[in-house]
Amino acid sequence: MKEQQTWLERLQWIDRRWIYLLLVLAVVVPAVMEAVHRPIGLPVMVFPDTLGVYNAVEEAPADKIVLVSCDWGFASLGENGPQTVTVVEHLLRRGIRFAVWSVDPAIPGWLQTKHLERLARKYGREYGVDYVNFGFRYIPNRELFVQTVMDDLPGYFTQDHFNRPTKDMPVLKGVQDMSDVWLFYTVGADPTYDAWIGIAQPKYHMKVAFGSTGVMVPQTYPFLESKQLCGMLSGMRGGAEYEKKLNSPDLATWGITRQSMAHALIILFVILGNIGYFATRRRQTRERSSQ
Amino acid sequence: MKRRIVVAVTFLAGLYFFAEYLIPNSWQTITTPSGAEVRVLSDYVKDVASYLLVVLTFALGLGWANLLTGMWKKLAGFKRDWLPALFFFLAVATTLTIGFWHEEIARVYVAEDPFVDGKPMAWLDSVWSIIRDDINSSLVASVFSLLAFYMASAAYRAFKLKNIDATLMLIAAFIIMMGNVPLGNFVTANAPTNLQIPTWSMWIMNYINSPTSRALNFGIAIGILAISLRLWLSIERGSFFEREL
Repeated sequence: MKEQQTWLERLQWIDRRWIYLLLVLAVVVPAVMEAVHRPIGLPVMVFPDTLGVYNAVEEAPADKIVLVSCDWGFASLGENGPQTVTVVEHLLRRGIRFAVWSVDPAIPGWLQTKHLERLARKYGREYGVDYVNFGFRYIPNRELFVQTVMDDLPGYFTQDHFNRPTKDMPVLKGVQDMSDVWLFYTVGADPTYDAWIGIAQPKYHMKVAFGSTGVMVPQTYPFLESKQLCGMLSGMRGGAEYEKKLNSPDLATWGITRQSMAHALIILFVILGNIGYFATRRRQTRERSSQ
Repeated sequence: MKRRIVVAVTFLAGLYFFAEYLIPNSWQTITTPSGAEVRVLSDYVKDVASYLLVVLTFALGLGWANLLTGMWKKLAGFKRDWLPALFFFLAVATTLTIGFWHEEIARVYVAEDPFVDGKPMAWLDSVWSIIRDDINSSLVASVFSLLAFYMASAAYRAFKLKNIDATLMLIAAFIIMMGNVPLGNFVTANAPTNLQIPTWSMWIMNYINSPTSRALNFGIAIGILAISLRLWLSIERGSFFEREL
């Protein structure tokens, strides 16, 4: 009976609304503190998988292009958004030519107006010369898309996000197929790298990197070990680590502090639940032995 | 008869890609009357893939049709949930109107230089940006962020140390959760490298998770192969066939 339970046993029956409220506070309070007082700034340690992506961009030669595929939507904005923006900033900072597209219709415009134009102005880069936004591409089948695109990039991407022809754009000068691509960086909440690793990479040997949500990280690790992926940004942590390497704290750096608090709170509640569980088991064992 | 046509088309469509992948170039190369060498399968795979992409895009229109039909049925009969259906149509109408208007202006006036200052109807840019970047992004991100609350509640109720397996899983989960955020690094920052939480987290991912994931991926790949073969040969019990052939 619940009324006979001790307060220890009741720890496993906390109303979920208290959990929701405390989770909200765990995220909001650090944000308010950072806005009012100063950033909390927990130390970020850079993992080797993030370094792999960073080094791939650092080593990119000037005569090759980088492709950035935003295979994500606003549902994973918190994790994939910073992963896209920080790598794009690195490319603009180094002056490496790149092209970006998305499978979500809203992302190209969001990326262009909120980030690409701002970062291009910051580093003195020019649209059409240093980067191009191919806009929204509906991809119902990734394997077919890779087979279509890998041998003839200009043949598929004939227009950019502004519906202008890409044929004579300086950014695509000399780019014919994936052999002219140094790095293919895909960001998404699915294993969007699999078709590129399986079909394009064996033929053209370009580097492939992946910006993943946290839940996709475990199943992606085998591809890191086999070196099929040169690097991976793992969730918001990956974005924060990359921002640390660039010395440009932004969305991920501030978000990871709040995520830390949320993780700590979830662990605390799991511990409380287990304390209540063991207290209940001890009482039941005592009752059985006294009968 | 209809089934036989579907089965035949399915088989031929799959046969093309299967044969193109397996048959060596030298076997499929023919010399045309003009003297050019043509690979009868591989030279056309890009075109065939493009045609298939077009056909698969029909699914987009089908999804739209189903959604509009379902919502209209609720609204027209003032059935339960007619109010959300009304807001759905209002949102669709507003977004389509602003979106098409914005694209038309962009096509006519902005195509030459999208970055010129003083574009005509710049207010339309602002309205479209608010709808797309502020309202849409915030709503979609918020809805999926609700999952975090459900996960927290589910973890609190489900993660109990009932046996040795659950204990090992819980310990690994704690290490991974703390290792993936700076708090884990902060807690053990002064400890030797081998005793830091991020180091343990990387060890678990590299030496325990990786082989397990690889084994799972192999199993899944073989399963996909088996299912794909059954679908290609139309012997899978599916939406079109009520029994195995």
